[in-house]
Amino acid sequence: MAEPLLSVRRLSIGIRSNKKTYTAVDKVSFDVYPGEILGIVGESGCGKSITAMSLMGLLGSGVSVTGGNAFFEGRDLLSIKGKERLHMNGNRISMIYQEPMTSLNPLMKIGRQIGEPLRLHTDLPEKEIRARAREMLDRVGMRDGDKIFKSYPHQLSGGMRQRVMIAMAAIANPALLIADEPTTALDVTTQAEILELLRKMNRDHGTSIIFISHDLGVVGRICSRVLVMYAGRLVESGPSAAILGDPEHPYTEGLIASIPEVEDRGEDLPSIPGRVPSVTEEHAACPFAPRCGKATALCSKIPASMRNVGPDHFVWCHNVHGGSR
Amino acid sequence: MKYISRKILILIITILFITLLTFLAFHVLPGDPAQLILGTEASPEKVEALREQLGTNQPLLRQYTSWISGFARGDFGTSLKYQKPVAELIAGRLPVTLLLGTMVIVLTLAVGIPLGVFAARKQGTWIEQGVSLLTMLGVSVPGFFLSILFMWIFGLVLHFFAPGRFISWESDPAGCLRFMIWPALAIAVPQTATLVKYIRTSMIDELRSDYVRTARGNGTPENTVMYRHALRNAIVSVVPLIGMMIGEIFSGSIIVEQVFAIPGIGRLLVSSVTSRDFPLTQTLVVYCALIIVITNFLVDIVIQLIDPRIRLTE
Repeated sequence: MAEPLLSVRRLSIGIRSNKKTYTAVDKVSFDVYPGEILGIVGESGCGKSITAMSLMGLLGSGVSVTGGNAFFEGRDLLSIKGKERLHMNGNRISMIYQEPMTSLNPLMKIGRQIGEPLRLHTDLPEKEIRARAREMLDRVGMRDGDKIFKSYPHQLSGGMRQRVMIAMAAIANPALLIADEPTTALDVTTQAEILELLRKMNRDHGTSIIFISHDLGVVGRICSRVLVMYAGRLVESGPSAAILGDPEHPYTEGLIASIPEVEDRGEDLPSIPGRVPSVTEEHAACPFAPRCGKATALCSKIPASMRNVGPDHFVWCHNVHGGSR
Repeated sequence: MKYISRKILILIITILFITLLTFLAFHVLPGDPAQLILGTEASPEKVEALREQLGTNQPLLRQYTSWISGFARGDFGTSLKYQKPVAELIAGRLPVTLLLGTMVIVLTLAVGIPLGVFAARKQGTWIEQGVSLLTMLGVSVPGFFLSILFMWIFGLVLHFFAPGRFISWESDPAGCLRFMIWPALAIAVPQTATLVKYIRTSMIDELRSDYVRTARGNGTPENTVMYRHALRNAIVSVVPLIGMMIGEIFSGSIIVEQVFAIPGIGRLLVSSVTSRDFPLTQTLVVYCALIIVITNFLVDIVIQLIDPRIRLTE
């Protein structure tokens, strides 16, 4: 395989609360290759979003990177500051967020907002920026582009706003796009359109995408590779087909079983009993052990090491037998 | 446009209502102006003659309509105390109050906005705590107390200005400004503290919002995030407060003008009330009310210019 575009190594993120630091992301490592769409799935609270935010340097107050590196274009995204950070954001890496309704500045016209990354990162004349921003509206499939260009965010629907966010994220042609649950707040038809748009961006411009979702079904449709996270740790990673078709980790199995299928209509939808432990709770060596049907005494004592169970398919579980690495 | 014309209509109705209330307040109050002016010793004939001259022997409605129609022509009547047209008296005092008010507003905005933004930016540090302490102090110390304090420290002890000796703009502009800066500061300090408090709170809310995160995600420099994104949004909720301040300041800071012996509107109002100079008092009360009503009107317009969401609700 080619050189990875982004190499995250042993990324740890801590949340400070009541003078204690709790580990929210625990030594997570992964690569993103040029031109691929990598999915990160897991239930709410498993650390997907803050992993993304840490790459953008957008962690909130009280949340900080406690260890690890993320190499991207010769720099460590976790430690760059000041001018280097500003150079990366919106230019080499962009992000689209979970909340299209509130992610646009309510006082700025759409056309102006889409052009912001070019205004910040290039010396292009304003006229050219506006022309490109207008063109982006067509590229993200907005009919009535001239009108939208002059509109304010409150005049648009959630789906339209998310398209605007995509147009803004893509205008400077970044190498990496992070999409944090971009379709969660949208209805199903809009969801499909937004997914298609991301796929098109990936195909036409070779933009690598990290696609974060709690919905393994959606991730399977768009991503070539998938990481499954649970309570701040990786539990399984591999090609989408392998993860969806032949899940190894009991947590991944549970997630797949809870995807509704048309043929199962009328039956109870299986769900994973229990809930994700909150970051402030002490967890066992394997955080999933309390909810796992296959847990043994070993699971609460020793953290599982990474096992290779297929081509590029890894799992962290004592009860899965494959080559340890 | 329809919105603005409707607003103007409401404005006119409000003003008419205010004049009516003011008029009634003065004419329902016990005490006959003619009697008051001439004293209890005066003969009934003399009092009757003065009533005739003042027009106070006419029916109330008649008095009101003649007052209002005079108002519309710019004739506000004649001051009983000064024996001069009210318009002339006010015109003489207005520039002083306007100068003082402008100085206060410039000081308040120029210090209050950056300091509020700065405090929000330093949220959770000792700097923010320090600014909070200062604003608490500023909000709780009244303007007249500061006036006295400034007179004592900067006037009597340090001789930066001569207390009680007002220097007019016409005679010495620089001297006038040097004198006026102290009353202006006395009014501006509590106003600035209030503004800082509001801006800080409003900014902290805005800085937590998603569009600020988007701006940062685009690689926007921190200063631009603060002023062009967050402050513009934060200011929408602070504009009404600024409007109220401006209204208050231009209607004459009565106590501070009194303490510093500044011949402005506030001082004129005090002297007109104490001497029962009803034509003058009436006009000044209407003037003060007008200032408040007009600034409120402007506040509505300004908010609409800043925030496109409000335009649509009308």
